[in-house]
Amino acid sequence: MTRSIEQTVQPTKSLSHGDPERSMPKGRRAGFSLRWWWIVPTVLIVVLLLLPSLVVIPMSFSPSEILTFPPTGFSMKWYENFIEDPQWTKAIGNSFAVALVTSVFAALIGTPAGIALGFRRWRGQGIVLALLVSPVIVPPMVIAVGMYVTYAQFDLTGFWGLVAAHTMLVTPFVVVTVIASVSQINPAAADAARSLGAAPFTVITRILLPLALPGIISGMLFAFVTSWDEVVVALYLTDPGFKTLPVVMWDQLRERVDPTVAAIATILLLITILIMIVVLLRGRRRKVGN
Amino acid sequence: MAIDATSVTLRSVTKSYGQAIAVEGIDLTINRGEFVSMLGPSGSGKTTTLKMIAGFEAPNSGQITFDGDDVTNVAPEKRNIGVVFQNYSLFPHLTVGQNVAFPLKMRKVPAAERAKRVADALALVELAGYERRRPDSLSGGQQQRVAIARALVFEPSLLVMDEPLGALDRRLREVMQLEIKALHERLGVTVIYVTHDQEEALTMSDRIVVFSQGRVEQVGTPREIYDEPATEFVADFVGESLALTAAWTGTDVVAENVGGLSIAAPDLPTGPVRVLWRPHAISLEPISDAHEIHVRARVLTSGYAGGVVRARIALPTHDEGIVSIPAVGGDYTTGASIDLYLRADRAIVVPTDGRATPSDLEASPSDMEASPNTLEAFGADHG
Repeated sequence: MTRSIEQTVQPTKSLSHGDPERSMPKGRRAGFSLRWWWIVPTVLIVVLLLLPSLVVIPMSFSPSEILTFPPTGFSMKWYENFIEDPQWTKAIGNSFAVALVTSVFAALIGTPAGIALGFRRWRGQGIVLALLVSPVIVPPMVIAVGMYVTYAQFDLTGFWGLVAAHTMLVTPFVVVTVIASVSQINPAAADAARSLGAAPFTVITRILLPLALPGIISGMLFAFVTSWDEVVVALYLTDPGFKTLPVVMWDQLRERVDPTVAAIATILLLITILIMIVVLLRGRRRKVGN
Repeated sequence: MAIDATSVTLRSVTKSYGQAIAVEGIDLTINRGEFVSMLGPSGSGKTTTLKMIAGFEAPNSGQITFDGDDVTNVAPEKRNIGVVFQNYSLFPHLTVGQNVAFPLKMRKVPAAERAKRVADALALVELAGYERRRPDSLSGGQQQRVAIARALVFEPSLLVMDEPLGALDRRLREVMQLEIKALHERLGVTVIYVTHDQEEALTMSDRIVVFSQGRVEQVGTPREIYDEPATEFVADFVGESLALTAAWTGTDVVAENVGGLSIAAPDLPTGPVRVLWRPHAISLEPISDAHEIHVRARVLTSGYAGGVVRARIALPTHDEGIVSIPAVGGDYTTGASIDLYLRADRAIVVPTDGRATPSDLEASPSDMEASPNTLEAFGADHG
């Protein structure tokens, strides 16, 4: 009897024990278990989202002239086509440049805001945060049309127009991730640094920024990925002389269904997966460090 | 380490946050090399006072001086004060060595000398060789020692500690109390130590400043605070005691159902008072050579506390109290009667302030009701 009470009070301890008698009543512990509730959404995401997306990979290696599944053979010609067509290589360069500059700008303006919101509590904080994350909530189409109409008035299209628009769209990611890491900092750390002889600016550069750095980097990675494959706003703000990769893909899909698009989609998928792995590994290393 | 200790003076210092007054009219002088504790419950203003001394907060009015120099509006980084916080405030992204070196770096001490002084400071807190460790790989006690080393390495003239042992368990706290005390004696630095733990304040301090509701209630040596509390609040907050509600008539102190106690309180105006006895002034049997007041108490609840029985008792004066009785023989179960002999020469008489304190919640309504007239009446009955 006493043993089963111990079990309910200290489940983690009993799990680490090798004693078979102790681990026996495991499933019955709380009467019912929440452990398996992950199954439904996970299966749905795999079946309805991941698998259909992965179809582009075999399709991109098919020799046929139109997108077909299953593939009729193996060929690298769509990859060759992609590399040799300046339209594609230029678009990929444009996308990379926009995403890189966007994530740097987002970090520059988002980090101070994240520190201000995360380090100490103050009145009106909620309203400011709601305004800062509004780009995530407002429908992209509304943003896109609005930006198109107003930016065009000032000739703010092409590279800088898109960078400006994307920076506004992705800054919330940096703000939120910086808030998350800064709110972990002991507020006494800033007072301690002051008492040890650090002027306010030194406290920022020596204490707050280094401690916010994990959040800044995570935010920049999210910002980069989001800008990299953003299509709605990009459709409105790019012009014939300056197109990003998602825009060219969109154009191509509307004109003719060419498997080059599948080849590019495969490459995009690979890059996104790589970045997400980096994000996950960083998170894991931080946990191990603690 | 060569420390040039400073003296600290506060002159009618007041601080309020909007409508809420945190401290009001604090006057205090802390001598060079002295160990002074600021003791009080949470919200009594002790931490606010410490923050103003350290420079994290500016007073609304009043003046703070170090060795006579006005520092009221000097930035914290220019005050040369070592500060140790309750929640380990080590910088988690720096190693132990880098943490301790931080104040030296800020003072542009050359690298070679820096390394030597860091090693010396760590040796001082018995953590020699811990330079490369990460703060999060240390225990709470070790982290707090690193924080102390970091606060001392630049040889500040004043060390300020805000409940530095509050997060540690009891045993470790007692060890660290003695270590901090030894460090103070060795270095001669002026120490201001904030705590809500009266035992800690009594053990460590040269003098104690008792805070209550934003004001200084009493300043004195631990012995003065314990043996001669100036107010009911101090008597209740510091140390254990048994208290009776009574009245000072000008000739005697009189308590309901007990009568005249043959105690004089010549310094007090006539009116309601509290009479307190510390544990050493209470015995279970009469001692023939001293004048004693005999009261019969009834046990309300009791429990064994290892060597002693702790009992909540009701006194004839309708006061309640908690006493510890050696757990040898005797019936101390609920409903039992205990004879207590209170030494008249050790009685502490303080004016009733009507404030509810933790140990006093049940007794306070009767404090309010007590008026000299009613007490005269039953004084006559028994006398």
